[in-house]
Amino acid sequence: MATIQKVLLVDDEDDIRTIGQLSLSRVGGWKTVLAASGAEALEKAGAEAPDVILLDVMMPGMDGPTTFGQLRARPATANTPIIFMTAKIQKQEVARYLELGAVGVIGKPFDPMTLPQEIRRLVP
Amino acid sequence: MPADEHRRLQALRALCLLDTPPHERFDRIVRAAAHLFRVPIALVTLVDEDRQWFKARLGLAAPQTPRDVSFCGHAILSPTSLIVPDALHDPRFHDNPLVLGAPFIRFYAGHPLQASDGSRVGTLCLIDTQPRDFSDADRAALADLAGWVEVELHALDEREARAALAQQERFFEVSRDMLCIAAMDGTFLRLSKAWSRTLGFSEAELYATSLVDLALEEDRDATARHLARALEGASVLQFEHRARCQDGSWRWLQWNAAPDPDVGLLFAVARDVTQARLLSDERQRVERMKNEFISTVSHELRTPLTSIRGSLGLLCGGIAGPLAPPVEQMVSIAHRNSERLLRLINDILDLEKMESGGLDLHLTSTDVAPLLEQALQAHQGYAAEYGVHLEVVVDAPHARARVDEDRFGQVLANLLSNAIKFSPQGERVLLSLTREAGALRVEVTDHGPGIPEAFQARVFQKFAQADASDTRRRPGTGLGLSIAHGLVARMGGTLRFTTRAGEGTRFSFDLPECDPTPVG
Repeated sequence: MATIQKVLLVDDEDDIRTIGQLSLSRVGGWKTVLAASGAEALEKAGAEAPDVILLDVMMPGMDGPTTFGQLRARPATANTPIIFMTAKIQKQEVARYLELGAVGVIGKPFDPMTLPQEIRRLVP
Repeated sequence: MPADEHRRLQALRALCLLDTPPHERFDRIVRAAAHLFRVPIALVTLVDEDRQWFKARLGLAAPQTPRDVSFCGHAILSPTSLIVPDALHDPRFHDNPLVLGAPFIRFYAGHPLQASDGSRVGTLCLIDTQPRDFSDADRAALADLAGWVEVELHALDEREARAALAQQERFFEVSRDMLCIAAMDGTFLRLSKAWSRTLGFSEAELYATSLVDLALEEDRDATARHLARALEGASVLQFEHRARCQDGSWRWLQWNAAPDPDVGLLFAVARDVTQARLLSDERQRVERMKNEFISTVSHELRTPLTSIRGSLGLLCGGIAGPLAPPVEQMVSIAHRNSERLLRLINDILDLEKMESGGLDLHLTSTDVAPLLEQALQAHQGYAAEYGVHLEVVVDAPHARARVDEDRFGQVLANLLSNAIKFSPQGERVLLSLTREAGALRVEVTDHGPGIPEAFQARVFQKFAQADASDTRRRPGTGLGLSIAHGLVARMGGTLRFTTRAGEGTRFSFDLPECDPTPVG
């Protein structure tokens, strides 16, 4: 299992970023980097080299799957494990994201007390 | 037996005269014949398959006699009259029971009666108990009288045909559907009154157009294509199109047309289905809107709920430091209720998906027992809260059924949480897997108060919850059993229950067992 030290959390909702950060840093004990959009995610991922990226699906502008494609196209993040977060957690959708190459999908609303545990389970 | 016996019998039956009451039109002919020829017996006979039946009779009481002894059976074999001057001296009839016994026939003269197709269906005959001579003039007179009978037979045909035509006319007048007879290219040849009533055009205007030109311009090509199928040999044409009205509006017509290529005609019925189509479109639109609304609202609710539940979860988890006891209690209440709100939203979404047909189950052959164990483990904490013991009994280890694992788990979760909620403290809830009559039976049994009789019929209805005035209020959405019932049905079973007041309730469902070897 890869050691996780830094997680990039991408979500357009301020509150969810706040809760996510608390969960990842306080419960998970990881350094957390936040991005509010797909574009910011590309920038932060390049600069911070996170061990895992937590990527919201539904975002205005560049949505999750598009951001995913761009991250994969860049050498720096071509192999970074990416987990999608979605409120529409349906089997076909999960299957589609896994097919894209995501390591897993976490449903919203997530439980902040068990989120890090869930991430550890998904990251190979 | 006549060579064309089959056709002859068909022609006879087509007359529809056998076994009908007497008609004066025929009776007066036999009266005239008896008088003219001074015979005691005159008959109009119809020769049926194994009898001769008398449509008109004078001087004879019997309504029919067997065909094999009948004189008329012989008379219909030839187009000319059969004359038997003295039956006792005729080798064909001398030992005939009608000659040796009543009515003691000695003389017989019969002339065949022809149906419209030429078949000889019976005779006009004269009978005497004395031998007689029959001159050529007599023969000619008998043939003339027989001709009169034939006129009456055919007159009947014509009258029936006129009546049938009048009925058809009436049908074309009163039918609310639009009837039409058209050429194969859609040229109207005959239209019912409903056309003018529905579309507002005069009959002259309608006859000047055609089935294709009547269609709204956008629908004309499709209409022509439908008609072309008739020329390709289609036996029925069914289609809908919009037809123009005189006032510039249009109506949806549903066509059912039977082409008859032999005569080059289309026999068609068009029904005005405008109202039904509008209603159906509207219903679909409302249904779509409702589903979209539920889906959107539910997803929109989840976003703020993620923050609320997340914040409360972190507080309860002590991430923000220890909480003072009253604060901790209030935060815990808020957290619990946010969980409940989430369950409600999830249930509503599931129900919406089930009703809109958007719920896709992934059924695969699955070892069932481990799913029961997992459900049991997942509910141990909840059971402990209520002081209830959970037990699982598996009498069918390694048995497989085609289920969707997640949805199967959801069914068990609904049943277990209900059973736990309604169990008195210290009681046990039993989850079991057995084989019953070739199927796998899953049961969840509690020893709670039972389901009140008045509520039993509504158990699987949406938002159904028993009146809790005499018991403690149990948290729940009232959707769980409705969803479980729907999910079990989609996995090929039926969720049902038995319950006894004060003794408990058992929910169960059977699923077909799969081959023991895992598939795929």
